[in-house]
Amino acid sequence: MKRKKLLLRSFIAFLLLTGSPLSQGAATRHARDVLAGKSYVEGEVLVKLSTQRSFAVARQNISDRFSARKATALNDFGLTQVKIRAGLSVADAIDELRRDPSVESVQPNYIYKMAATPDDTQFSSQWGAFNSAQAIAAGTYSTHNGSGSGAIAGKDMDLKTAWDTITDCSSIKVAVIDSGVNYTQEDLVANLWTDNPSYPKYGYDFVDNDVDPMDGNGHGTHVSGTIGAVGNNAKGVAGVCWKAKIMALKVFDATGAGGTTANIVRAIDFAIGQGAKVINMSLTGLVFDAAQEAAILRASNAGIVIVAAAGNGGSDQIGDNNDVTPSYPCNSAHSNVICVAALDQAYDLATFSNFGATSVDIGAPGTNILSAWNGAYADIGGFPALNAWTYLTANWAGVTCNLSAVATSFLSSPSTYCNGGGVFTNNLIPASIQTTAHFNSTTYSGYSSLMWSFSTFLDLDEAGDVFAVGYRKTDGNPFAVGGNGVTIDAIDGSSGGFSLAMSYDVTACQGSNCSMGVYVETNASQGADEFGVGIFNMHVKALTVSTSTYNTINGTSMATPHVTGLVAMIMAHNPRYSIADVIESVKSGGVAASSLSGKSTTAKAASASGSLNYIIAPTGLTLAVKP
Amino acid sequence: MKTAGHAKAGMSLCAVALLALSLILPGCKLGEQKKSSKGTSTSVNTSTTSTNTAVTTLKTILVSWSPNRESAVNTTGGGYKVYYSKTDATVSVVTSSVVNVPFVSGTLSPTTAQLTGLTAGTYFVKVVAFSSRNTAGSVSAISSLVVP
Repeated sequence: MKRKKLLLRSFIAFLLLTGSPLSQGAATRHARDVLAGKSYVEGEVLVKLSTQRSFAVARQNISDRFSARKATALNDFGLTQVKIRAGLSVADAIDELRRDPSVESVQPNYIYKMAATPDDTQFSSQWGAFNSAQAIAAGTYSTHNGSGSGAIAGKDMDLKTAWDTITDCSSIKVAVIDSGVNYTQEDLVANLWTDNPSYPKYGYDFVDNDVDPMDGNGHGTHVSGTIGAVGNNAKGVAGVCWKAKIMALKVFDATGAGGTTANIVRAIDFAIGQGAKVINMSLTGLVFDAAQEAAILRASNAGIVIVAAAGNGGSDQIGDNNDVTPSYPCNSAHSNVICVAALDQAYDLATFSNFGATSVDIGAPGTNILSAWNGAYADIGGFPALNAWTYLTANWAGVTCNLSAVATSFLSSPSTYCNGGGVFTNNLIPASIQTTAHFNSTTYSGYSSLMWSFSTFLDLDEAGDVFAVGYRKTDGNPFAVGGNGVTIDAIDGSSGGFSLAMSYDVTACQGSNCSMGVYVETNASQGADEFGVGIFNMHVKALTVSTSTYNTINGTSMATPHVTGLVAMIMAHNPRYSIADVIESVKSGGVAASSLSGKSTTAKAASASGSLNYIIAPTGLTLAVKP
Repeated sequence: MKTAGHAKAGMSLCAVALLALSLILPGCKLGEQKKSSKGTSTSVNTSTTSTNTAVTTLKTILVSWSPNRESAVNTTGGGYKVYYSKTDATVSVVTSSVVNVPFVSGTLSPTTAQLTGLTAGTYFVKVVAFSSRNTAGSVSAISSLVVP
């Protein structure tokens, strides 16, 4: 019986010793070393009294010999709260008390905090951060939106757990190659890259070649918000990183165009030159691009991880297999690229998301994603009616066309393209013409983004005919030889009986007179089905930038920045990590997602807590017999 | 005849011989550490039938590895555990011997350990890196070494 008691006491002592680095059994370290960086209550410590004497006597002993101000029992097992004497640090008190034979163990009174839940006002709609199977009211992707349609709680990035470890990624510069950033947005203004005074607007606009990368589209602002919207600021949303350093590199204009090889490569090189460590590329191209590949390799050599979108399918908006139809930079051959698919709120692969067993790496939330936005567009007018343009009357006419039984103003080439009843097959367009129609607008000025849009019917030959759109910063024909006009689009073929929505960024056409126009050229051998061009429903809209606009949208573009933020988080938390370490941490730290089995290299969804807790296997093990 | 009891008394055969005769007996080395048979480094057995004296020395394996780059491994609550076994080539963490190598201070956890009290044979060793949030940690490849 006596032996049993001794064993029990030994067991209890073992638990305490192994559970506390400050126990007597491990008394070789000074408490100062152990307490570094910890949060604890100053002026007091917690003592576990030895069972060798009564607790009351032991407490009195401590009060007397240690001159503690007070020793209060916390439970019946000897745990005692000791208010230490004035002038004594917690570390010194611990060192002193652990030499006391009546003390079994001693530790600080550590300060705990609740699992990190930010107070951002719309956090409850951020299912990617914390999925409670909540319905996203503004969500347009209906599958698995909320518990009523199959959303599964817990399918998320587990950011609340991760935020207990780190929220500040500001030691890592994150380049966002996109449509720019609304740098006035309330959730982003404090988290932008400010290191170089030559770039006072936090980045560069490679479309207009200036230092103002204001986002005319919203896409880049949304992506940036997911990466690094200020967290816990009682506004809007929380980014994966609550503190960040986002570099705005604009390669797309307000319409989403402009993303050329030249601009993207320049943006990658800019990011390299300015010390970025992560690049978000929520963009895709369907051809192998040697220049882009070379830039990605330069980024790799500079220690940069690139996170790329898998892509959103083709015109049918059904996800494609990138192993069969490559998408770049997702399918880049370089190992510093992580390619991301989009998952819905049940962690099924989103219907629009591309995939690939060998080309896509991991999934992340990509449906009904709420994030920051740029503002809203509104009509500003400033142009004449469609029948009051300047044009060659032989080839153009302003008419009224009956579209879907609605009388509609219609600029038509030839004038008979619309017969008034909405039929576009009355007369062939003449062969061998070169003709323009344009208008001189009022002077637009002071808008951060200006968009010209219209709808068009098109019936032209695919070989030799062309319909072009352009502007110039003076009155007159934008297509005049030597007129310094800018051709912003040129297309041919047929719209197949449907109207096409055309949209052009004309932000540069400000500060002086601006003429906008269209041009039609036909070849010499007209076929039997080339009838002409018509445009209608025209607008000139200006962006009203908002500091507090948010938007809920879908896409692999939205999944990608979840992983980009995670990469920044991992790098900030583990500054010794190499690129390979970071990528291993992202991939291996993910959680299993069966929907990605056979459709990605990992069959996993990104997990912030999983990656932060992930440990790479030790290497370099050597053994030797001690001589 | 010398027995293990003499070693318990605090001085081994080697030490006696070296001090008294200035001779180096087989198996003895200058500067060799001596401990009692309950210690961790040396025990002594001798033959009862000849003038040859056989000395079995408990050996030590020095283990080293590259430092992990996770901050959590290199801070309080993190570190390494070195598991080793003479019989289990898989080095089960349940049944194998273990040496704890926790973070102490500075920027990195220690990356060396000594496996002491070893007899001749093949030893299998692996290192586990752990943190306070990942106590199971991550396991190195297994290495082996023949202790003569």
